[in-house]
Amino acid sequence: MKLLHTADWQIGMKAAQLGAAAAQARAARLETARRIAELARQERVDLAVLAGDTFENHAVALDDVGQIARILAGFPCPVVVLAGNHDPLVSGGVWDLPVWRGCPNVHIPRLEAPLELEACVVFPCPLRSRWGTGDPTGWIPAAQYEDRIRIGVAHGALEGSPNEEQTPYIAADAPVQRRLDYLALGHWHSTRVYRGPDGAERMAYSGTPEPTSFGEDDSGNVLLVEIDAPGAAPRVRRARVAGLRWMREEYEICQSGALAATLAKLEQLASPETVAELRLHGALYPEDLDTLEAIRQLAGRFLFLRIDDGLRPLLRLEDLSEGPLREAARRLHEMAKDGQQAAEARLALETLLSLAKGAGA
Amino acid sequence: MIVRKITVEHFGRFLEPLEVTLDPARPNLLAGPNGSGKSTLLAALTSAFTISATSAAQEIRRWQPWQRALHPRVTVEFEHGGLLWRLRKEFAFSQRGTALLECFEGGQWLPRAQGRNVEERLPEFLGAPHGGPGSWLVAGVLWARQNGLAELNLEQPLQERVRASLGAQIRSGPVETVLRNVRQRYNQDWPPQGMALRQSSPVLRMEAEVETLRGRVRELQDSLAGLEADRAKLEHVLAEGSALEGRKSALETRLKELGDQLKQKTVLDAERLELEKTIESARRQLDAATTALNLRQTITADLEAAARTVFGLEERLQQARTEVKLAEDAWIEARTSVLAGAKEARSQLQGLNAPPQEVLDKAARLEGQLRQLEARLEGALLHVRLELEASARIEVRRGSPEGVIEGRAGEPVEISGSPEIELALPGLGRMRIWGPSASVEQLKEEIAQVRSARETLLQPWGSADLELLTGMRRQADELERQIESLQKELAAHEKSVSPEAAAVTRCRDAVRGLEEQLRQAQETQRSLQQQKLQLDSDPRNDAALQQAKEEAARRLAVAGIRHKEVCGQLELLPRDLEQEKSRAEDELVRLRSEMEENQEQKARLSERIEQKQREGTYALLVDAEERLAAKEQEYVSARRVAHANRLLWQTLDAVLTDAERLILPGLESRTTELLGRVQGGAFGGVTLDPGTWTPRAVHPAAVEAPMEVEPDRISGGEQEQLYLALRLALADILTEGERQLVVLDDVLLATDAARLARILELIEERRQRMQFLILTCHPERFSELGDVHLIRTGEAQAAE
Repeated sequence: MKLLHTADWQIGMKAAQLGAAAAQARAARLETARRIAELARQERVDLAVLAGDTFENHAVALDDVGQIARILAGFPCPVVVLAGNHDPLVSGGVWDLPVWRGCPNVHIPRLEAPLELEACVVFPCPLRSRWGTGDPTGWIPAAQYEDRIRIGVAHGALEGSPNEEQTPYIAADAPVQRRLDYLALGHWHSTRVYRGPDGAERMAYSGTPEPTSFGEDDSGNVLLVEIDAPGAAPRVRRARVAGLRWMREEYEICQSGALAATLAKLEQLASPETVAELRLHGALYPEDLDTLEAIRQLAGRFLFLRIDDGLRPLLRLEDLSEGPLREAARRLHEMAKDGQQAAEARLALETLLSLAKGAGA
Repeated sequence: MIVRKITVEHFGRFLEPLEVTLDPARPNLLAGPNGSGKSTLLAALTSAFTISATSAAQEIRRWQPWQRALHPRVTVEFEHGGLLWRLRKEFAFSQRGTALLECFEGGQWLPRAQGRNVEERLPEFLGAPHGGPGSWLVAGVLWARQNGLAELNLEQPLQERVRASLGAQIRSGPVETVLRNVRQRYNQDWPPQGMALRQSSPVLRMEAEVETLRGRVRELQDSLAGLEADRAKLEHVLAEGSALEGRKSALETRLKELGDQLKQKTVLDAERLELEKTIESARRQLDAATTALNLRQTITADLEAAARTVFGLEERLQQARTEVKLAEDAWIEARTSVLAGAKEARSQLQGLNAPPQEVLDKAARLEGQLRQLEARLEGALLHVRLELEASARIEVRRGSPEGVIEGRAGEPVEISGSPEIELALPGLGRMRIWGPSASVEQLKEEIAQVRSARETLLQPWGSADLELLTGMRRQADELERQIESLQKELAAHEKSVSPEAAAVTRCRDAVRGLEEQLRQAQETQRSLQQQKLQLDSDPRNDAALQQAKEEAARRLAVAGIRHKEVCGQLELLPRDLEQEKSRAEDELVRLRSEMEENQEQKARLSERIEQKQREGTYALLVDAEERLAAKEQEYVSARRVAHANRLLWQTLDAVLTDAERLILPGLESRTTELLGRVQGGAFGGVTLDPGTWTPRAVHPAAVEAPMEVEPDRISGGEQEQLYLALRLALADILTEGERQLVVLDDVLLATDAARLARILELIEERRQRMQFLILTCHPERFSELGDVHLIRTGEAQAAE
């Protein structure tokens, strides 16, 4: 059989750090969901599992829920959608909406009970609250359907790993304990595949198919898992589906004109699908002021560009004629070295230098 | 301001119009002897610019021509700001005064202001653009009146003007451009107070927007929390609903069980009652048969025993009745004896005739009274005791005993009397004895009365012997106690508490007991006789009776076993089945009501959740939080820029202020330099007062140690030079932006020729920047000034 494993779509998620681009980032997640459906069709998968956190919250926009329902209904195979810690099984929640009645191929398990499908038997472990109390895979019987491919679907942190959201812990050897051919996990946004004692890859986090923040490592994938027979080692393959590129660039400016190289690099990277964070350190040379402004102007070519400007204006007193402006620049330069007003002083100095240059001082 | 022409009329000594033309480029030397009107001309110029045309103050009135009702008139033509101006004033010392300001444009004089408007514009020509206090600033410094070189009033407005003048130099050029830009940025972000202005600040506006968005986010967070709470409530309500459903189901099952049990109980109760009747009937039959069988065997003996019992009881009753009679006799005898004893005692008491105790008490009191009186009488009498050695006849003429007493030898004779005793002693004479008199007679009478009372009191009791009567009283008391005791004894007999009466009661009770026993025995006897009659009338024989007995016993046993079974089954059933069923039915009604309520609550919550779900509360919150984050970012950035702009403005302002603060030292330095030049060599320096900017001390250069000399301790000439140097230093500053008229009215009278020459050099150096008007009565002293415009008063109109 061929299985498409995905999780953590986090539809409707907040992206406050992206400012005005947040809505586009949210829309990109829906587009990625459509791409995943297309991939399922192309790959002719027998089953798709969505291992929790399909939605960021139960109270997301109904229109988003409707779009997701239509996308899932369009999968060419059964889809098992697990309730995660962001969208647990609660009364009046997103899973109680009537829209799901129109999706016959979509299974939303409400009980810890085996789900017999044509290609395999699925052992779902839905969450009923945001915070877990025990290993959700604990209920899976080791001695049932032994002649069939057994797929587990769970959501939570692996035993022994950081767990800030206090989701349930899943035993690190759950596939062995529960005798599962494959355990599809959700919750971590990075793709992680685990080998068992026999060397087979029987447990994995698919990660979120669309990155959610800067610094997320290896996200933006789904997993395609092929299992030939009960007990056979799965073949796990990752497929990139992310629509947006999240990147963080950091530069240390140590000489006059070096900022131009940064500008050139950013011009190459600039695209409406790129979300970037630029961190600048070092010195701001008076002749680089225009380049810095050009970098700032570049923001419009990205979906989002955040510039963390830590440049310290470099003061060359000889650039200013003797008089109040030079004295003011000298004082601001002193203040910019440290203290509470250092940042303000840097900006003030940058402004002064710029104005003085414009005034021909 | 550069003055081109001054015209005066009706001003002081100038009755006729006088026109003085000044050269704008060369120093003007107005020369003339004392009293020729030089200072009047300067006063006219000053008045034109500093006194209102409608003023009635003395400072202008003094210039009205002597004893003439004329109005002083002044006309001044001057250059300012690249234009030619004309000021015309007529001082009428009232509102009728007129002022006109004209500007020469297009080849003609055009009016620019009239009346008060003229007065308001004049300060700007004197270096104070906005008028107000110190408005003739420049003139105050640059126009030195005669003997007034030291009258330098450098108050704050002038200092500000000087600072501004120097500051303007500091702030000129690129600095000005940058400063304007920075100020504009600063004012934009940090506008002055006032709502409209504050709203124009992008930062403050953004701050308000951020606050509004924060409010919206809080509102949506609350709404989302409400939704979560509603979901939790719904979970709870659903769980409650399930629990209620379970309880209802259990209750209904229980009610069915109770119904079945109730039916079973009814059947069992009916059977139990029937069995109890059967048992009763069988028991009666058994008892009857058993009794009949037993009676047949014992009835004769029982009858005989009953007859014996009756007889025995009758005998015992007879005996008891006899005992009652005896007891009653004993009681009567005892009672009679008591009555007789009481009668005897009463008789003795009566015969005794003992006085009552109170009589005895009264008699005792009288006895005591009598003894007291007798003692007093004894004390009131005179006593004579005669102890005769030989017998003698004593005649008692007064005294007691009265009469003749035959006295014998060895026997004393006592005679008493009162108030005197008179004795006749034969052979001896008469003896009269007297003493203190007392009322013996009265006492005797009282004694007689007391004795009579006592006799009257005791007379009924047959004796006056108090002791005897007391003994009789004791006897009587004893008899009275005896009578009382007997009366108590009699009462005991009457109330049947005496031993004799108790014996009577006991015997009578015994009789009654025996009578009852006899009655019962007779009853038993009659019953037995009746039974005997019945037995004699029953046709069944003993065998038949035995069979009936066995049949009854069998029925009793069967019914008893079944009864026990039924009772056992009933015992297993709850005792209060009906109550329990009723309670369960009530509980079911309550449960149904709770379930309805639960359903309603569920519907309400579901509807509310659905409503919020439709609203997409989280999506709205996300949107609001994102907008807030974007706005906050924008705000933080704008605020950072605003703070940076403020810091830039503050820093620049501080730099400029610091630079301007150095003006005073600069002024000191310029003054020192000028004074040094006037004095023709090195000069230590001048210290100006930081408040008034007037000279506080001079420092001679010749002394080795630093030394300060107060200005009034230096010579008059040096003082002139010091103040002139200060005025020139100020003039240097104040004429930076505009050429100005400098007036020196006979101010260097005490300056020697050498120093005057050096002063003239300084004037010469400044002719491009200043227009000099020097008023003097010694024009020859200024001969070293080359190319001057000399004006002689008296020929002023035609002077050249």
